[in-house]
Formats: sequence, C-alpha cells, structure tokens
Amino acid sequence: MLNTIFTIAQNTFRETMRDRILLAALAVVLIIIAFTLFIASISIEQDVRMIVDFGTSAIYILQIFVAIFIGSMLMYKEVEQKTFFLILPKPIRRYEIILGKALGLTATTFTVTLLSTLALFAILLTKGATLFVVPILLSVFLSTLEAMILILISIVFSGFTSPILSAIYTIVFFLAGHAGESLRPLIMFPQSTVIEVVARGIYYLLPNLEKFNIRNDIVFGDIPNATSIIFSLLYALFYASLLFFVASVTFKKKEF
Amino acid sequence: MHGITIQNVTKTYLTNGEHSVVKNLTLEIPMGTVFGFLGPNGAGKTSTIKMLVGLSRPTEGTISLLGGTPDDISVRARIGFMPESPAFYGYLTGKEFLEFIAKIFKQAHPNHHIEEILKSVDLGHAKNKQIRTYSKGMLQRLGLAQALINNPDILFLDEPLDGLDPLGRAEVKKIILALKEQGKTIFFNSHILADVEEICDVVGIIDKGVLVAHDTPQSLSIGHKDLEDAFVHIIEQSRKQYA
Repeated sequence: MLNTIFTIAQNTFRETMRDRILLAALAVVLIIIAFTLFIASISIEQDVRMIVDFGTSAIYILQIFVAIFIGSMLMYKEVEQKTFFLILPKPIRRYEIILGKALGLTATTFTVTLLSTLALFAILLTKGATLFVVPILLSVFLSTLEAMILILISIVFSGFTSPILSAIYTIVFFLAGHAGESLRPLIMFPQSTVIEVVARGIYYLLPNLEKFNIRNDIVFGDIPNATSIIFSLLYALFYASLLFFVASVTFKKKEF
Repeated sequence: MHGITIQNVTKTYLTNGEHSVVKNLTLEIPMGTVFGFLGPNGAGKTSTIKMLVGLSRPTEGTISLLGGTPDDISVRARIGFMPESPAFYGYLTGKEFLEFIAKIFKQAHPNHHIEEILKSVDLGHAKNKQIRTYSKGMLQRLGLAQALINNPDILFLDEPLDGLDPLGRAEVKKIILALKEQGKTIFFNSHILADVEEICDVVGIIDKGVLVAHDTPQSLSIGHKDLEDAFVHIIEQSRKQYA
C-alpha cells in the first residue's frame, strides 16, 4: 500500500514540478524576493523587517497558489481529461490515489517553498541578518501545513464539482478559514440562540487557518513557543485526516 | 476457465430524467476469445466497457471477470484497458509514464520489459520525449503499451483504431493480431467493421443499449455482402421491431 501511495506521490510531484504555470509562479516570487532589496533600501532602519515581511508574504502567496490552483487543475486533468481512465482500472485503491496526489502536491509545495526560502535567506545574508532564520523557517513550516489543508479541500471539492467551482469553493474556504476569529463575538455575546448555534457550528467546522499565520509576529521578533507549534501541527494533521476521509468516501462513490 | 460473464446488466443515469444506456445485457465470453463489440455511436459500447473495468457500476445485474468482480484488486492485476482517445500526463516522457504504470503493478525491475513494449508499439525512438509532443497515433500506441505492461489475461480496447491514419491503423492492428496469436482474451469496441471482421472470433451488436445480435462474423454475414452490410441490416431490423 505504501509503495503504491509513494508511486502516485512521486508521479504527481514530477508532473507538477514540470508544470510551466508553477515554474512561472516560482519565478515571479523569486523576482519579488529579489525586489525586497530595493524596498529595503528606501526604508530607514526597518530594512530587514521589510525584507522578512515582503519575503514571507510572497512565499505564502506562492504556497496558496500551488494549493488552490495547481491542486484544482491537477484533479481537473484527472477527471475531465480522463487520465484517471488509465489509472483507476489498475490494481490500486482510490484512497491510495487521493493520498498519493495530496502528498505529491504537498511535496511540490514544500520544494517551491524551500527554493524561495533559500532565496530569501540569501537576501538576508547580504544584510547580515541571520537572526531571522529560525523564525522564517517556523513561519514557512506553518504555512506549508495550511497549504496541505487547502490541497485536500480542493481535492474534496473536485470530487463532486467542476475545477473552476472547486477553485472558487476552496478560495471561499480559505477566506472563511482566516475570518473564523471574527465569529467569536457572536459566540461569546450571542444576540440569539440560533445565531450562537450557527456561529458555533461554522466556527468549529471550518479550519482555523489563522493558527498557521505567524508572519506578522516574526517581523516584530515574536516567536511562538514549542507547545503552540506542536498544537498547530496536530491540528493540521487532524483536519487533513478528516478531509482525506471525506475525499476518499467521495471518490469511492464517484463514477466515470 | 473463467472469462467475462455479464448477467442482466442495466446501466441507468438519472441526468435529465431516468435514461438507460445499457439494458439487460447478458454475454458470456470464454478465455482466448477475441470479441468485437459493435454498435452505432451512443449505442452503449463505452458504457459497457467502463463497467467491465470498474470505472462505473451496473445499476442492475452482475459482472464477473476471471472469477471475481471488476473491483477486485487481484482481478485488476490481470486485466489491461485502453480507453478511447487516452489522455496522459503531458509533462512525463513515454518511458517515465510506463515506469509509473509498471510500479503500480509492483514490477521490480521493469526497464527491460518497458523497452521491449516500447519497441513493439514502435515508440522506442520517442521514449524520452514528453508525451505532450506525441501525435495522435503515438498516443494510441502508448495507450496500448500501458494496457500491455502487466501481460494481461484479458485486454479491453475501446475504439483502439479510431482517429488513426491508415498507417497507424495497420500498426495497431498488427499488434492486436499478434496478441490474438498469443491466445489473449480481447474485448474490442469498434465501429470500423472491416477491421472487426479481420480480427474478431465473435461479435456482439448493440443498439440503444440492447444486444441485438451475437455470433461469429462469418455467421452474421451469411446472406449479406459483408459484415458491414449485415450490421446495417441488423440495426434496421431491430429499430423497426422496437419502433
């Protein structure tokens, strides 16, 4: 079973890493990271913070782009262009395909993240700012976890809708996942029981993606403690398992 | 030995109301038979082959392959399937794609085998080119190659000669005839009747989801100019009957 999942993951990784859209997006982000040098040069005493802020944000946008758009396109190719017709009749279980696809695309996200992070480190090195290495690593690690969740969400949606709708739904999920905290007042100080129940339901159903956002904190030198990082990791794994289960059930029933 | 058994299979879709694309289909295909499944466009040929390879499930009835069901992993390890106009991962090379498929079949050292298959489908020269640069004929031949990688006992081919130029058709036909020589069981969807007549031992004719004839091409052609003439006559008769 593990070999099969690894085979699918390896194939997904190889296919997506050669995708011209991905390479173009990576190139754009590398240019933005290089451009931070110019931005830093026009800011007074805040140059390193500017580089870290712009750099980590650019890397984050790249990760979200890979998760949502490359993720939706990946399943589009399988379902609409019927590459699945060559794979599904083989001795392979559908959940192995789902897990392999998710892991392969997560590996792709990890690779482009690594490349752009190295570029950011190179820029920081020119400024002698080595203090930010660990905070940046923690930040991109957490945002990679967020990307993993979004990859699985796009796979879940692509199981029963078109690729464009899948991308739109994933974007809505992404935005709602970051706005979850704004529901807290409705839960803490409810105007009515119905509103409280609905708000509580949405709050617990949607992933709290803000748990993976420490970009602002690291710019000001705040690093979350180890417990908080481990909790975020466990939260991501729990949510990813849940999404993987839903995607597996959806795809098991899907007919082509 | 178990081959293909289709018993009272019906496939109904619920889009735009209830619509049956295959109706109460029963067929028995023994091992070693080359079976041609004929019918006009939209007759139910592809729907049937999709159910046979597990891409969809019958609404009613049962399908047995090699003594198991199309969902059994052990059965899938022994079948090959080439879909109509196969689509591939365009950024992989032909060789990489076959390596990927070989790994799914858990083949330990597939390189020599892959080289042989690539040569047999005349893709040896293009094995290191990305698939997105392949012509239609090359894609069809790569589709056939991936279906053969596990040396299957039963091979399902959905319109394997469709869209090929005469040279490409001759090449693919030659491969299918060689497989027939090896005693493979082949389930072959087509509407190119001259090729079916040449390749198949037995044919079934389906129209509007109903099996309207099932015999050898020679028997069906008795009293007709050729199989094409017989096919047209059978379809016309069946449509009059159901009108």
